[in-house]
Amino acid sequence: MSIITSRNKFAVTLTAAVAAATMALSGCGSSGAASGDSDSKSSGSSSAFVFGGLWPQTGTLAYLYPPEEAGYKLAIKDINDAGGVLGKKVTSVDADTSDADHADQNASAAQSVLSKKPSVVIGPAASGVVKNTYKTFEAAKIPIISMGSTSADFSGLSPYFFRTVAPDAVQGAVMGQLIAQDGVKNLAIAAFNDPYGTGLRDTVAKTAKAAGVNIVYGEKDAFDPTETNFSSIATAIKAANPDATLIVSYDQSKPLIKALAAAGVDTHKLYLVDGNTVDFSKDFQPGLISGAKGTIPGGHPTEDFVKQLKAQVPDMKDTTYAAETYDAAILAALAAQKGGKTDGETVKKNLPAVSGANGGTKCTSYKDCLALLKDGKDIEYQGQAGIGPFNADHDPSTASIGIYKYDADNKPVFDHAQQGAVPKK
Amino acid sequence: MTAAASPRRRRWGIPLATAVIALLAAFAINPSQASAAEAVPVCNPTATNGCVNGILQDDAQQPIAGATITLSGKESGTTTTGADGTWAFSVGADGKYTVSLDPSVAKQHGLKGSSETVEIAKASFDKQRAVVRFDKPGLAASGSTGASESAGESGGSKTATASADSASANFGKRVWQQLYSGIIFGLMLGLMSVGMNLVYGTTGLSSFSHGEQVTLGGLMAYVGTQMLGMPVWAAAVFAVAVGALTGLVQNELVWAPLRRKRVGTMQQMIVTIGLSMALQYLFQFFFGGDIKGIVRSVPASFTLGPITTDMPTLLSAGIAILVIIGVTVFLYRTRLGRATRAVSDNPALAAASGINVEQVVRIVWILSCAMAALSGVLLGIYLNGISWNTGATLLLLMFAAVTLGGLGTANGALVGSLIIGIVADMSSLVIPSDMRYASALAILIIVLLIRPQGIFGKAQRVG
Repeated sequence: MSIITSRNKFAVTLTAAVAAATMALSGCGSSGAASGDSDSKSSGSSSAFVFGGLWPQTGTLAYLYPPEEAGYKLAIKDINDAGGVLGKKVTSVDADTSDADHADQNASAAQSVLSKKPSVVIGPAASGVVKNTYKTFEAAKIPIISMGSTSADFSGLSPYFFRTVAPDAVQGAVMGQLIAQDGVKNLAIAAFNDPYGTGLRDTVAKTAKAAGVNIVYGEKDAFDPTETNFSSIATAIKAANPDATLIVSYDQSKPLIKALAAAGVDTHKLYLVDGNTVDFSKDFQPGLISGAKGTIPGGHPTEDFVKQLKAQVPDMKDTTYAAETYDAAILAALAAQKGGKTDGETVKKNLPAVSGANGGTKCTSYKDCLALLKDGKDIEYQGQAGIGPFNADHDPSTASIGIYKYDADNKPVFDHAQQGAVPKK
Repeated sequence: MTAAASPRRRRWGIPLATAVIALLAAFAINPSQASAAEAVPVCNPTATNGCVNGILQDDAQQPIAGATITLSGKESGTTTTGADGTWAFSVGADGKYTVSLDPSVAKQHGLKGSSETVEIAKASFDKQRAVVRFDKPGLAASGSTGASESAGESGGSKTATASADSASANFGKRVWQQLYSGIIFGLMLGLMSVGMNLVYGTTGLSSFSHGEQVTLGGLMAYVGTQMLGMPVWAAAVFAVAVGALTGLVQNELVWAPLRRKRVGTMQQMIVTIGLSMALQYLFQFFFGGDIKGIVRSVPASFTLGPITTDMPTLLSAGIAILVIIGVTVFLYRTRLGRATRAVSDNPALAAASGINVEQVVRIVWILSCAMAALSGVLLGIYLNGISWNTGATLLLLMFAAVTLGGLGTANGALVGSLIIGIVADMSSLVIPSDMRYASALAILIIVLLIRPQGIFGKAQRVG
């Protein structure tokens, strides 16, 4: 709304466009020039730490970008305020990946970031986009830390792939138990056809069925991620006569929930997941989904943290993946600091250690952790996302799942959190 | 007295103390074997406790209150179900637990089991909480007799047949509902494709940016209702006016100059593709990537025979029908309409017979974009939201509808749209809903194999 924000966005878009154009142009010629000019920068401990950011600035996941941007900017600010990495201010290079339907854009964004020889890549958030890009970074020996790709198949995906969010197996189990203990007998599932959608659908269905819940619709069905007409799905769900409906989707939940309500499905007995447990107060009439429940991996962000995030991106509507993004960036910076070098290999090698995989003194902010590292101590960074150290699969070894309940204004209100160990693959 | 009493007291005191110690020891040792699990109203697992909980309800989902639930295993305890049927034990030790319910209560309420063994592991997400509901099919109670098992089985088969019956009834109900939603969607698609086909008919241009005209209409309605606080009808008028204006402006700025310079329709089509992409990202730049709802409320639905619908949907369908009838009347009954059809038939001949072809094309652009905007508004209301790429996802369906009906024929586009809408929605009765547009496009291929010119198209010499 404010001029500054739109100008910021414009600047980002412009940068992305220029970066993409540069990439496209240089891609035609030999890559010698590009790598030659950055080679001098990349080697040696004296080079500055560079964040590569891959964001869904456009496409169907664009609504996830503001909280991620806030987490990222806040992390960079905190790092630089504390003196940067190895005494130098960090910089960032970002690109727009769009969504997984735009594989060309995924690849060009990856190349665009790669050409700047980043020390680490933060993102992409979506599992589908990670699938399209991780090999590029694996080949370049640059670690990527995803803040939102929860696909269960990604545990141990690549030695260079890390994530600060628990895999779907965890959220699915919690959601399945939640549905069962609420006394749901007949459950309908509306999931979208994507590794995230079908993966989470399957784990919830498995847990709920084990507890005795019948799945009356959607155990094997999924809708197209680009679907716009939800009336036939709503009709089918209504006809199956469920007590409750689970929706595994991103932004598609808005028209879908309204279509369900119009078809006569009880919208107070909805179960939502991290992709769509957002503030609906501006989208629905009051009370439409009061009583609905949702799960979001990660602890409930503290008010103070939310305030700091809002200062970075004022029009941020919710905090989905903001803490995970923040922690990913802080962990990467600490890893470089610990290794004494800013290249990808060093960051990759030290990421488990700074996350506390080998134990160490606990610290909760970049500043404190940095001081400990400078004293030569081992650290265990405990950030905002409520995750434990990376395990051998580079998943968080422990995680917490927040359970939210919608109030009369259609806002999710934190109810309680469930903590536990992430199952190893 | 006191001297005599004290040894006696001492004598008694020792056994008493040992008894107390023994009792305490029993309590202290017990936790490792079968200590008391805490019965709590609500249990949430933490690092130090796991949960065995559940909800007791009968087949009709009515809670069974006051039933006694017994927990045994690593820890044991007893609780009674609350008014809402819920019960919970908070347990400290990992391991196996058996939860049981009085078999007579289970039988009385038609539950499929009366005892279940679960495993608790506090650190693991899938085992830190165990939900027991005694309604798992096929879980026979360990201690139950043959009679109760067969009772459970017959109960199971009863519900199975009941659900099969309701499934077939549902199918019958769904047929009408899907047919109805197919017609509604077809009408809205028709509104877009008729305009698109008019442009094709008069200028020979297949406009790939027509989808963005639809999106524009929806987004302008969103601007009207949510940003400017207009009532829906005013926002719709505003959106249609903006749509009509863009039709006029783009004809004057882009298409008319291109036509004057005799740029081929293929090149113009490429321009529309570029325009489509530019507009999509322009929309996203201004409106963001999320889905915008034109109205926040969900209208009260009512049943109309076998279908469930609501007033806005019926009203939208009515408006779509009226506009399409209006356009048909315009084309067949008015001078300008006849001129439009003449241009569509043969622009050169029409120009030679004194028709101002440029004027006709300008009107067609305005009309086409206004109709697209209107369909965007109706669609945005019917589909419960519009986003920057809604139009783009519908573009292929519009092309299919136009081709199916016959390129360049206004009513053909409507019939084509209805067929696409109905076939797509009806096919989701038998095939997965994410594949339903494929069936509509399969119909397109079949029709084109039989009638290459489309249903209403005129057979033309090719080449």
